[in-house]
Amino acid sequence: MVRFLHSSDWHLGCPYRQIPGDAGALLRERRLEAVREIAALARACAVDAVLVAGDVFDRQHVEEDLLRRTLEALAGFPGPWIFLPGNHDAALPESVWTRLERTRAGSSAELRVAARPEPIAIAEGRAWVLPAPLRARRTLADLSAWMDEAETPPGAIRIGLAHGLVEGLVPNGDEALNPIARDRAERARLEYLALGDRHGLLEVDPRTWYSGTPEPDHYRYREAGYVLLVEIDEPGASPRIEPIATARYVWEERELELPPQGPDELATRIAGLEHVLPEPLGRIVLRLTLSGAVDLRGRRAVEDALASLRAKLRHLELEDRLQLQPSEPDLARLDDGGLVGACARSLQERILRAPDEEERAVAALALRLLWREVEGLGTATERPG
Amino acid sequence: MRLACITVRDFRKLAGEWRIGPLAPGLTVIGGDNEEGKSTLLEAVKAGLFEHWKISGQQRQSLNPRGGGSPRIELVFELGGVDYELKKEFGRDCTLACSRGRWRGDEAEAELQRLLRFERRHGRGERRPQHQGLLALFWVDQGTSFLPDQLTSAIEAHRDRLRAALEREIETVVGGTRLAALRARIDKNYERFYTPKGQERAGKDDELAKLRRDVAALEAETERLRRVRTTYDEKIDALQRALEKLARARDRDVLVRAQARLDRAREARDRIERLEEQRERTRILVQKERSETERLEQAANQRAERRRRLARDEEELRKVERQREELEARIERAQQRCSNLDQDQIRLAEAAACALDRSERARAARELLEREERATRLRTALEEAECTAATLARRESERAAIRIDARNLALLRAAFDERERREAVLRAQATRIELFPEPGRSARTADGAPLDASRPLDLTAPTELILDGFGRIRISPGGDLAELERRREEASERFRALLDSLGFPDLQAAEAALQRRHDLDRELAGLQAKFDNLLKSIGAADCAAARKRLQAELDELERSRAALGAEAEVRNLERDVEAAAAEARAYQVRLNEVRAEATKAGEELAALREEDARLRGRHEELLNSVTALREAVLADEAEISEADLEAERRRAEERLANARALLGAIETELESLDPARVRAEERAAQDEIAKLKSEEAEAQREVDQLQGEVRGLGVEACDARLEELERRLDELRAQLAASEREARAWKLLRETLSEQERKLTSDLVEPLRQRFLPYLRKLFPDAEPLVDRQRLVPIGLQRGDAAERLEELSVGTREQLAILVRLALADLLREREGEAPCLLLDDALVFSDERRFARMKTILAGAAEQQQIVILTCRPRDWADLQAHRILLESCRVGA
Repeated sequence: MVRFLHSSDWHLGCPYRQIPGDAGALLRERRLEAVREIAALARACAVDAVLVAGDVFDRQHVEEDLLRRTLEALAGFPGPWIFLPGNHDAALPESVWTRLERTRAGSSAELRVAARPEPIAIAEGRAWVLPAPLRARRTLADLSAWMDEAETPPGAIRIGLAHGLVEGLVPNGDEALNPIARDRAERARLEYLALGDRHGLLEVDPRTWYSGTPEPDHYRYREAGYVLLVEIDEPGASPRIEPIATARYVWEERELELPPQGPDELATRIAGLEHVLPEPLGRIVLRLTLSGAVDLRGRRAVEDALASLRAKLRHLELEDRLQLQPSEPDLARLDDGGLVGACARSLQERILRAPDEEERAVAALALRLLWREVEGLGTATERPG
Repeated sequence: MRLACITVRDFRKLAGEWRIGPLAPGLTVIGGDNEEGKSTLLEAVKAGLFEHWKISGQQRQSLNPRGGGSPRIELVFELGGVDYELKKEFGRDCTLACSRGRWRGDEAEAELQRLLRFERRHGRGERRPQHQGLLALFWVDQGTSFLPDQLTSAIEAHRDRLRAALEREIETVVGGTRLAALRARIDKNYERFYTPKGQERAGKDDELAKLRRDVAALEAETERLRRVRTTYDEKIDALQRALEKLARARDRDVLVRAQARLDRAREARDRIERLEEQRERTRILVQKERSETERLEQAANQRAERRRRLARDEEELRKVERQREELEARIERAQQRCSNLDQDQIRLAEAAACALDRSERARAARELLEREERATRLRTALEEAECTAATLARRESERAAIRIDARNLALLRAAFDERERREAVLRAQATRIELFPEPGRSARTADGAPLDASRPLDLTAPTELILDGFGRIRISPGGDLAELERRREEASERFRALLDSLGFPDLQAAEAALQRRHDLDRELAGLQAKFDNLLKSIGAADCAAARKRLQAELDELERSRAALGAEAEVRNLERDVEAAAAEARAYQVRLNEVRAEATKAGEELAALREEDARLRGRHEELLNSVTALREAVLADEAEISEADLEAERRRAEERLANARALLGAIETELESLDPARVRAEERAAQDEIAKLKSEEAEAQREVDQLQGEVRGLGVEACDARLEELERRLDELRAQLAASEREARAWKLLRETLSEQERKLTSDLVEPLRQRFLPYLRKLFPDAEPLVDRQRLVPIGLQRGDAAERLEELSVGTREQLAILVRLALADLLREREGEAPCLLLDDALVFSDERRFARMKTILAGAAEQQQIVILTCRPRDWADLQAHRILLESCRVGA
């Protein structure tokens, strides 16, 4: 029997540019923590190897410090770690792998970079890993094809390791880069084909799996955040696969269309999100799309409610499509029959009539600023004389 | 405000106490003479209200009476429905009392300032409108009401209060501290981004400029780092290619295969070189044996050839000797024939010469006869030409004698016609006498010539007639017959003079002469053409040349005739000319034939002699050759015998055949080895090995270099920095976009606010205009007021298409307009504030004409129904027709 962990798409060094500040730093750090947890899990499960099916690093030029911290994170499991170069970290002549090789001197863990399509023995030769490394950033060839002819000792378990997109997985998709034949496991007589590239967990067939990334990194993949524990009893046997959750942060995407209601109702609608999001809120990365139309008072209430929500979440990415539609009470509050009211009505007209979206946005902001300034001055407009 | 009573004591020229009042709520006219103190009274009221009771120094002294004392002013007035009593003694005390309370000293001054809303003048500063509150606008000093600046500055000073009144009119708010604060905050935010001129701020610390600079700097830096990364990626690609190239160059199988090909090629090349060496030696042997064989064969052939040539030469020698004998006989015959032909030629040449001579003479005779004929024709033509020339000369002479031409004849005809016309005129004016004598009676002229009574007598001059039985009668025709007669005579004289000048007796002769002249012209043209044709037929330019030519012909004829002899012989010769020519040609033909034959015979003889010479030479050559060949044959035999020579030749041929067989075998083997191919294979194998080694070295160098470059780029540090910068750049771009939008929003907000303010201000002007217009129309029915919409002041009039500015109007009109504006403003204030200020005019309308003055009085009377108006005037009679409360200043002195 052979037992191993299948993971992929660690994307160490992912910058999370869309998430600034401390939240971004925490998410970057979390990816290394996930590696530490995988190492601990490997040790705990006493696996024969950990197979990482590509895109260990987010890019070739990650900083030296990250390489060292990666080696430190891997030290929790002595190995062997079998890393497959993916499209983000392809086995180029000078690559993150050659740099890692230079940096790892003295590292205790057994690291094997499958930079060539050559069988690698694990579990004292009971199983052989047939890697299909990417040696360029992208290719239209199926690099896993060599597995069909690859020779392994009789009686050995054959495990494929590849990075790319299984053909036909995306319906009506264009010609895919880094393609992998859908029946590769069968044609190459593999007991298991460990795949990477897709960030969500996916069973292509009982012998072919995408593990997905261990820590979600995008709203798109809701099924991300797992590592697969794989056990194969003997050649020809079906693999036993156990997904083990590793995600810490939850990436949620919500849309909220706000009806033209009073400020209190709007604030309640936004605050209500807290109850539908999974706990704890501090681990939520939320992309919230707001649409609909609010008046000036509603806008203020929405902003206050968002500020409150933002303080509770790990990160709130706001897609603000709210349209500002000053209400009669708004204008009445501004409009004391004098200049301010006339000004507010002129801006409102501009919001409604301006042909250019930017012009409308500027007019809306101008109205909000007027509102703010008038509010700052107090409620009553003095009358001279 | 309404003034009820004014009490002044010891104020400037108003010495003692003066009480003016009570004043009417409507119109009050205060009359007083010049210098009596009307203006001082106005000054006293102003000082009482607006000067602090504690004023000192020069300001205080300016209030003092001339005779000394302390100025004191008491005013009773109503304001806002409250009655006030003010008592102010400068330097001593001040009290203000009303139903709401009583104030004293500075408190009283403060309350007064609050009530009247004026600014306190400090120090020695000039008194300005704001120091007198709104009343300054309505209390008009003497001689200032027409000054536009006075009105404008007063309105300017109190525009806020006026505006407030106007703003209430449309129930809006433009001013006020709250709105001012809002404007200030908007301006402050606007000025964060823009200069007062609306330009975006670009200073070092300005928000937008700083953000843009930061973004640009970050973009430049990120771009630089991206380039480093791109360079790195390109170098990685190049390194990959170089490594693949190195792998190919290091492929051992390729090298081993190339080396094996090289070894095989070298072995084959060694075998080929040995064979080529052996082939060269064999070729030399073959050459040597072939030379020996050829030499022996040549010797045998030479012997056979010499013997053959000897036999042939001996045979030919005999043949040549026979030919020579035959040739000598033929030469002899030919010589004889040539001699005969020479004789025939001599004889025929002589006969031909005779015939030719006869033929020449006959031709000369024919030419002589032809020349004679030509001479005869020439002479005839010449004579005719000379005759024509003579006729021509005569006609030309005759024509030249005729002096009249068409122009002269026309003149002559005109003169004739003139004379005839004058004659006819004269006849028409003549006195006609018709005689009807009784039978037997007659009439005569004075000189006795009888008159034909059957014909009327036209008299153009006094004429005396003698009538039988009657006596003499003198008839003098009337009219200006003498003048007509004179004119006719002048015309006759001119006609005669013309006839005389041309030499004709009358007009008919002149006309006949001109006709003759025309005839002569035509004849002359014909004669000239004939003469020219004759000369042309002769071929001469003139008669002299023709004559000279005729003479030459005659001379030549003479010479020919002398050569040919008598005329009869010439005729004979001329007749034989054809026969003589035919004979001469026959002799010549024959002579030519004989000459050709002789030439041919001579050529044949020469050929025979040449052949003889050739045969002689050949005979000699053959003799020499035969002799030499016979000697050579004998010498060959003496050297080696024929049989020995043949045996030696056969042995040499056998050795040559052996050497050739060996050479053939070598070349066959060489051909099978294909030396060119072997050498090409060897070179190719060498080149391939060299190329592989070179490629390996080159690829290794390239790999080393690229690896060095890749590591030297330090892309990891760049990448980390780039990530950081890109994050920062995203943030900054977002900040910039937000700031730009905020800047545009503030700008829009400010512009919108200004635009709305302009619109509202414009709206504010309308109420003022509405109140001003009725007053204006009473003075100027068709005029429209022009009002500065920002400053709320009148600036002129629009009458028809013409806009007239205030300063362009007459002083009187300006004064009237200024008072009307004050009335309009007072109306506005009254309507909005509940009361109007008192309008106090000191000697106003002094510049108005009577008509306008009357209208203005009517207007003021009407206005006085709504507000208090006090008029100070030195001419109270002018205001006597108004229904007003009248006060004489002189009667106001207390105790007077």
